[in-house]
Amino acid sequence: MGRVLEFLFGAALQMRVRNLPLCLPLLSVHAGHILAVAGNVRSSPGRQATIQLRGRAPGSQAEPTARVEGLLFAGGTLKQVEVEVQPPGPDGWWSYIIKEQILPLGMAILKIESASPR
Amino acid sequence: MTHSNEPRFHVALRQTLTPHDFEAQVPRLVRACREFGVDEVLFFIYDMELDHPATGFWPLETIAAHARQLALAKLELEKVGVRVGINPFTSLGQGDRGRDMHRLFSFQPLVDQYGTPCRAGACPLDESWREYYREATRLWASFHPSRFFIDDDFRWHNHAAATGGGRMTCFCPLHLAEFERRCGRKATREELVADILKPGEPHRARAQWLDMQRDILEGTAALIEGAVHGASPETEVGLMCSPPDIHALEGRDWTRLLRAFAGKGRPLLLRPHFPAYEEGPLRHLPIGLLTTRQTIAQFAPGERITHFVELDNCLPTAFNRSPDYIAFQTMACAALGQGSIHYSLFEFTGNSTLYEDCGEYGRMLRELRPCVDRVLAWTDGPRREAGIGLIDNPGSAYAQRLPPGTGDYWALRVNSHAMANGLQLLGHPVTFESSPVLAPAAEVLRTLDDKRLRELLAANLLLDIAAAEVFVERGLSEFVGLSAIVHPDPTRIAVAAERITEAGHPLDGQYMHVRLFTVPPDRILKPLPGAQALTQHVAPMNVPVGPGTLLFGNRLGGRVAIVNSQANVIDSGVHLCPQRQQ
Repeated sequence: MGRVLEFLFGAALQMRVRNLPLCLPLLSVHAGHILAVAGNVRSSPGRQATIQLRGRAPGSQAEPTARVEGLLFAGGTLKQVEVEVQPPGPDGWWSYIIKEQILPLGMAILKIESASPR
Repeated sequence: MTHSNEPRFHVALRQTLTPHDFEAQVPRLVRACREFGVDEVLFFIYDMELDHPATGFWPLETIAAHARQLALAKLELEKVGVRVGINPFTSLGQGDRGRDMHRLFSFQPLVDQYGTPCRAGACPLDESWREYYREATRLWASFHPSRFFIDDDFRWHNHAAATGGGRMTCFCPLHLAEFERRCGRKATREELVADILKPGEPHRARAQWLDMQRDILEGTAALIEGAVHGASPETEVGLMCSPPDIHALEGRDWTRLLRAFAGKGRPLLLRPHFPAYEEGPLRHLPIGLLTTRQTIAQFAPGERITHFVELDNCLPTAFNRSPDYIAFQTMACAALGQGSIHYSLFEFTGNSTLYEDCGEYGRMLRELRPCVDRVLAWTDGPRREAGIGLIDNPGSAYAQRLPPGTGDYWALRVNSHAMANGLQLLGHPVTFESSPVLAPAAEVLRTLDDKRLRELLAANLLLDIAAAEVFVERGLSEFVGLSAIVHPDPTRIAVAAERITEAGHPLDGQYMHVRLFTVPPDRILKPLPGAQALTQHVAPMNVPVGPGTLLFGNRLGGRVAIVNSQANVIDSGVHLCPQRQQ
């Protein structure tokens, strides 16, 4: 499905989640940032779960950057989480690797600063 | 699309104070609100029948007495800074469930398409019910609630009759007379139902019927609004609801209906449904949230509206849903900018230990507040959802072309979600807001005219096999890259697996399951030149059958991808696998 969606989205903003089988993904574009969410709806933790983004948001043309803040929610607590950023290669995908497990019924919430072309 | 709610967590607890032992319940509720951080209580008028006959509707003097009790409770809650609203469980009736309104009232019952009358469901065309409900509403509003929520029985569907039936109403004599008055046509219930459900091109009676049903509910909403604001001008009036695909069966115009409830110039108020009522498989959570998101998407950008997402632990005890489950739902709402939540967490019986029995919910609310507020801060201001676009059609019941032999009104229902859960579980976000890529459901496509289908073909489409067939049936196959879709003899086709065949793909040559307990692929795609197959279905002995996944760019500038699977298979453990993700 990944290859199919790359074909369909072309240069438009696209998100996908890796290493988190059974996922609740959410994506929204705000003034100055992109909010990307990966919730774990499987009863085992997601390890090295990765949110990937590519392309530009229709309208604002905002695109992802390397500046990211991460929050990890689980069991009634929310804490900051380290996020490793891998800039895009030829395929255009930014990778944001969550450095802790996403527990069942937990979620990673990333605030990714966006840049707009001048 | 932009919608904004309060940028902080707003906990609205729906709770019953039963008439019996009332004085003892109030301090317990006040203490719970303080300990759990509740911002607003919604008095849920639910278990009156513990103290009164099972009639579904209560005498006005009973309502007046209980409203006086609630007024006293409101004073106590306001002392600790808690706002107080009200949510009567009954307007038209939630289902018979052993109740019989005729013990006290002579309201015209709701009648379903088969002629089955409800025993505790009243037709809002009945003047005696209108008089009764106007006064009942005035009495409930007399203690000046912050918000007045009409429950989700304000609808034409799901009024379960004790004798069976009641799924779609109302075909009572008053309705038939109103239809004659509006449309100049005298018809029996049987004649009218036959016309509404006529196969093929819809009979004009269907649109007339849907228009009438919509207008009746909007007029009744205006009656309720007038009664509430006559007693309490400051009260906000809003509605609870079912999923949009179901409300499409009654021709609902969401904005018009909510405006009728809210009153002129006031912001709209809605409680979008977030199923399910019980803790089910975790993998159902994304599709449950999608119902909420679809409901919110029914309103135009810029509409002034407050959403209180419904997290109903129904019926509430610790055996129904775990705090972690509800907390996850809450945080998902927060990530969407929705911080105003209606919770039903504690039982509705008035038992003395109800808050202690479910104390873990209280702790959950307390712990959640800083978490929700922190995430809401990241969603404040204008926002747009992104992801694979889904489309729905609130007017689907007007346009649905029924196959021959259809006799039940619910055949008009469409499912807008189609592949949505499978896509989400694979890690791809979806949205009902605008998107450059759309994954329309076949059932929705069938309700759209050819002009709209052509418009869609100029966009970028992800189609399951059923959706692709709609374009073929409408003579538009060339735009989706097909010469035909073949239905082979089901006794002669046995697809064993789907093989990745895209040259250069890192997984080229790998296999993916296509069947186990679900129906295997039973259609063969015949691609046009220029269409690119990424995968092949193969029969036993690795014999190619036809493309599994096909890409095509059409001359309208649109890009089309067809996945040769049914939507329900795509949402299954058969279809989802690491190879599919790539």
